[in-house]
Amino acid sequence: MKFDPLISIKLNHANREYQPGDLLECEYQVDAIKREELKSVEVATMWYTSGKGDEEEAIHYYERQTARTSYGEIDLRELSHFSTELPLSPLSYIGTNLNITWCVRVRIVVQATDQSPKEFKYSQPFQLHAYQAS
Amino acid sequence: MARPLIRLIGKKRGSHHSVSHRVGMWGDIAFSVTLLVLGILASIALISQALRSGPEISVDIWLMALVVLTFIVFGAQGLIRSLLRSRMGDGLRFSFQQNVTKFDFSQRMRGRFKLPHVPLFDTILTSRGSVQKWRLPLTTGQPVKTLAVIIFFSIWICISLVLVYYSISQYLSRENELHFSWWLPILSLPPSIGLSVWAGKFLKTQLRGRITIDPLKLEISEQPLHPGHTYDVTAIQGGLLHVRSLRIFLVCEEVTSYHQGTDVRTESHEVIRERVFQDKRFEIKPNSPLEETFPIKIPAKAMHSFQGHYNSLQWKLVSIGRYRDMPEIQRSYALIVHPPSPHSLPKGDR
Repeated sequence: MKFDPLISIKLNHANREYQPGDLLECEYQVDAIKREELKSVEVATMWYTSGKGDEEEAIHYYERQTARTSYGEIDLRELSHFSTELPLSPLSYIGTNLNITWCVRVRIVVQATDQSPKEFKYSQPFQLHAYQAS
Repeated sequence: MARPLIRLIGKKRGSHHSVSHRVGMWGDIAFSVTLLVLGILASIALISQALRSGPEISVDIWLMALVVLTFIVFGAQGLIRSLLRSRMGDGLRFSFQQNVTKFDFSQRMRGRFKLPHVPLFDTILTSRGSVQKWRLPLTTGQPVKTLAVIIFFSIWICISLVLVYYSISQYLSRENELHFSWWLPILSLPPSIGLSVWAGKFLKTQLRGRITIDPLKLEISEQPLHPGHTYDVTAIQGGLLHVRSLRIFLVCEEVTSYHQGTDVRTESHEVIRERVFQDKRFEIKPNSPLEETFPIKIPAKAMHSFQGHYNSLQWKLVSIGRYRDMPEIQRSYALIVHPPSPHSLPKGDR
């Protein structure tokens, strides 16, 4: 029996609450997978809507790494890091017919020998709140 | 539930697909490429035939050229559309979106004050007020309803005229017996005229309210608005009116659009509706127009205006006026609420 790969995401704010303009720092790692099977890793800071209307999403930050680079093969399972300054809008919102959710999403493409590629993704939601009085 | 093998009549609902997305995409590409190749080959053959036929090009060659051109256009369009829907298209779109901002100088000028997916306050298109700083733009005065009534009225007037003409011509040209082609239009005439009269009366009521009543003007002390702040709004209305009641509401609504089968439906849900002004039984005279100033407060924890492709959150002031011998008139005035910034926080909170 083969288990799915593990994707872990760690954000710099333990309570996962941010304000516009804050620096979001993120560490992510892929585990429980063979090095040669992990073909690419994509990471995005994004928001998406949910509720009654058709879903829409927008990417604020995006980065993609592939195992094969011009410098040779790299191990994508190693702990990686990125940081991005969060935008002023849209803020997180929970309404009746509309919700706006911010998240860091890691998407990996895995291909075992003689098998077709599979993708796995994991999202870590966070809150983007309005400026508060300090 | 088992899916019928052949669905002759019925409507596809939801986002179910008979085959996988990938198979559908390759099928689209194959069809478009076939159409394109067929069009190109046919155009080559047609051009060579046209060259052989001499200086005079016959009508059938022009017609064939039109058909061949349609093949090429539809094939190319289908191929581009299929490619854009594929993952390659996702990559192209993403790359384009990333690069297009480099050439958008207005976006760069806005710099860090850019507010993605928040409507910007346009100082060029918004007019200055006479009492307060800005006059709010009127977004709806039920023009769709009036237009629908005009179209309905016009259609039934046309139908009635055609029926009258047809009935008279049939009556004059009838030979021996009363045929159904004569009495059927005669029978259809009364309901058709009845509907025309009803639509005409309804249209008259609509237009009377619209033409004879000066539009209510709302002016505000500041735009854009920020949560937690209070603003002054002035309502101005001139004319000669006996007002039964005038109410103004501060409204925040979620507007969502969704696909249901092949239809696109839009639903609005009010999350905030607060009455900010009310007055009853008063007269407006030419020398004493209505000019009332009242405060509105955007709740501190309220969400800012949001504009997506399918979802939006809209703030507005809605006025509902009831006048003597007039229909109820409802109008909306758009407000723009921006998210709080360090500059917009009330003094002492920064």
